[in-house]
Amino acid sequence: MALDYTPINYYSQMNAAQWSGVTAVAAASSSWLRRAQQKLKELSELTENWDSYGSRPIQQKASETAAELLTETANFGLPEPQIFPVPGGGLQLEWESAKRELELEILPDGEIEYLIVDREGKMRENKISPSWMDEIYRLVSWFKNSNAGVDKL
Amino acid sequence: MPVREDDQSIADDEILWRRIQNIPDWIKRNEDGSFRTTSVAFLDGRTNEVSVHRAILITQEKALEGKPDDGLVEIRAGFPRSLGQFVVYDPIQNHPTLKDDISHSLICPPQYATKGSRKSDARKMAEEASKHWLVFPKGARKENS
Repeated sequence: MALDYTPINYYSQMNAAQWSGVTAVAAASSSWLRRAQQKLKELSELTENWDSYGSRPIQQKASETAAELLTETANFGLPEPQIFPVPGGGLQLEWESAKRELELEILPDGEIEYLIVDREGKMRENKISPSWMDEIYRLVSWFKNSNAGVDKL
Repeated sequence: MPVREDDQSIADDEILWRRIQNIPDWIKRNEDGSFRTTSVAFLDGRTNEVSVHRAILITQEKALEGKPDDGLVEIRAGFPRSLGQFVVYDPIQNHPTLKDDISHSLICPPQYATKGSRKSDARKMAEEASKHWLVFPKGARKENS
């Protein structure tokens, strides 16, 4: 079942104090988003064999999907991710808190796979469907909930 | 993609080396102060095959030739096998872009693999290999100190 996620409706129900929090989060997200976009640009310029094991450069479709993901996760209020080139031509975004981890890997063809790790080290992974917004929101919600194990996703 | 078969002539206790890029973010600090590399070091988004070196067929200096700032970790062949991966001897000779390397081998999933453990396997291999740093990447310790 698709999640009913519409940020505008959600925001419309908030009081002034909550709005100020959202403003702060939005400012922080905006700040890291520019840095992340710059990092993405730098990674897209990696040349053939950048990993010394014969990897292709980062593929355009992967870069495009990563750019979309960065924008959306910034909108969801996530902190700044680490961004890695993945051998073979993909990219990976990683978030880590003291208690949990979220990895979003963008394959060279633009498909997305995730891995989550909870405080006990349990892992869960899967592919994300082409209409990925709802699933990203579900993952972000899990990551921001400090108590849930991977079985609560 | 060529069909791969696990190479039983590589014993479970044989040591494999993997170069780790000299990218500060690739190395993370664990709560106990030790360091681990990101799972990306054991991923390949196109082939799912991860290049390694058989330690008995190469020296550290040779493995890092031309990459003096990179790091080197080791993992025993039995570990990826315990995850269902194959270890395949794949020497490089007369490749158009890669240097000859008689130690070159691959860790790769079997053709029939259907289980969804690609990323968690990479994560586990990265954790295991990070217990055995032979050479730490030049730029990483500074960033993490």
